[in-house]
Amino acid sequence: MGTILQTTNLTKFFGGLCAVDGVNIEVKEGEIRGLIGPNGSGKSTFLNLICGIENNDRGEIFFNNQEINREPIHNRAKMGISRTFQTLELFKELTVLQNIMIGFHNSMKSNILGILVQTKKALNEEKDIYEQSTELLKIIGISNRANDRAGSLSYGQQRLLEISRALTTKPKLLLLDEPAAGLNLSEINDLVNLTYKINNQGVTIIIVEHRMEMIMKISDLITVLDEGKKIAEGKADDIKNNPAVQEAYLGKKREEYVRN
Amino acid sequence: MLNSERNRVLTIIIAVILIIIPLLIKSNYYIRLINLCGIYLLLTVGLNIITGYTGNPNMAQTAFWGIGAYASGLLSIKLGLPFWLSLPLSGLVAAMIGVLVGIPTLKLKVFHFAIGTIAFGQIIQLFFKNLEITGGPAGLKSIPTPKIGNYVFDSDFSYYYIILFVIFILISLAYRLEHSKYGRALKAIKESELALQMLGINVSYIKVLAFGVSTFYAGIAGSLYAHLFTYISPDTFSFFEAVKVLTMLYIGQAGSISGAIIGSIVLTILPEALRFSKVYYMAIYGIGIVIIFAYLPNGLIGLTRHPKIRKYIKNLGLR
Repeated sequence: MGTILQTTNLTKFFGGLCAVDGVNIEVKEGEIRGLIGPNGSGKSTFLNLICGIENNDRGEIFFNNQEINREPIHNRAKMGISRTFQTLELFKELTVLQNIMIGFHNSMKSNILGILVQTKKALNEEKDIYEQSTELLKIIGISNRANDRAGSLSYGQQRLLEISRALTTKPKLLLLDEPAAGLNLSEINDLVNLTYKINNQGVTIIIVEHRMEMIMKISDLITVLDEGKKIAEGKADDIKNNPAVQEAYLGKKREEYVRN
Repeated sequence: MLNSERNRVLTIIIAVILIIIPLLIKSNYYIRLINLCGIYLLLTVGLNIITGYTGNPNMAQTAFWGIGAYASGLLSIKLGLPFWLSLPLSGLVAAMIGVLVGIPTLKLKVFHFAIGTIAFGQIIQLFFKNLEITGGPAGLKSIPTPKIGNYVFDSDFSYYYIILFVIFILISLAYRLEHSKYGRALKAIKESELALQMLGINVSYIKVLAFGVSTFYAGIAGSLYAHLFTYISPDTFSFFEAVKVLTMLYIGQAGSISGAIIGSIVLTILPEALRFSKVYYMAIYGIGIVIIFAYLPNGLIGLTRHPKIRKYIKNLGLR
């Protein structure tokens, strides 16, 4: 099992604020890695740096042993990195089916000329993608809403749609940014099962979450950030009992405040 | 009747009407108006491809109209090319320049893109007015009319069929583009460029592609215009006209081909229909546009979405 993602001294400044401070991380293929930390600890910025939405100021990012620092977002996506967003980035005014079909954009090889002239290849591809997308909707259980506005789905369904759309590009690394936000307990259970299913297909997953029970249960390893720095890394039990982690979330123990 | 059968009958009826229009109209004035309508239709359908789908307002569509017109005129006059060659070539010239202009400007945010295209339009118009080869402020004259063998298309009645044919082809192409992977991705730009990039789609590339296709339409419209009027003046390809085409798109419905068609037809015919009231025609025209913008954000085509109207259409049995 090789290393799929590695960052060395990853650093990002926003003006004077250091959002991500010299973070070294190594994620192995097939892992489910949890990424936690108090608000403002740099988790979302870290994800943004990995997928290219932000450019790092120092350090390197290696994806499958290839340095991807300079690659634009869409190239990183083509290399196999995919991401869902905390605030859903669905195409709300387009239909559910169209949202999925757009995901298959790059797997369609005909160019603009072929499309305008309607070569057999172009027509077949369009039909093929239509069928694949319809099939995917059937699998995730929302095919009855295929032609509805994506924005008209329930929140849980929108989350499901966003994750499914991220899978259309057959990613090797999937970054989930607070996927459980706004979901009820039963939906979270479905999400956990879905995450396992995706992981079993060979997709490495990095999941940022605030729901501790979920992260502890699902992750192979957990990395903890605080104020941009990595303060702990290990299995769930070690993290739970780590005093630095507790301090980051809950503040210093009362005695220490009194002493100081 | 089955729906598909009904659609086929409707299509045939519309096709027949379109074909016999020149036989029904007797006045030169009105057939010229209809031809002009067709030219604006092409400009607007083209504009829809960049502005309607992605929301980037291309204020230079009429500048490319001019590029196509001058290119076609000059290719015919200086190089002696027949219309049938200079027509597609001017489309290509406009498209290539469009791509060059699009690459830097489409990196800008929507508002700045608009300013950039306004600037480009002004510069191009200055070129038309000041270069010797374009005839300067006097424009280009004696542009040859198209002919096949010995038959010359020197009347609006025969030229109509050239425009109709070109429109038929270009609308089919626009339709195919809309219902392809590019159409979907372009429409999604307004929703979330970020998500598109995360799906591996090079958003800059498809924006420039759309811009190039849109200017191709403008170039073709320019060529048709040049060989119909046989004389072109740089004053025609102005910012004022650019606003007119943009208005046509939004009146109809930005983002739909049928919107572009309706908008261009309505706004070409309406000013003429209002000529009876010389004094008030500008006021009526202006107020009409304001009312449509205020109450019909989705344009005239958006009217068909209104529940009461959908019911009416359903009762007519057209759905």
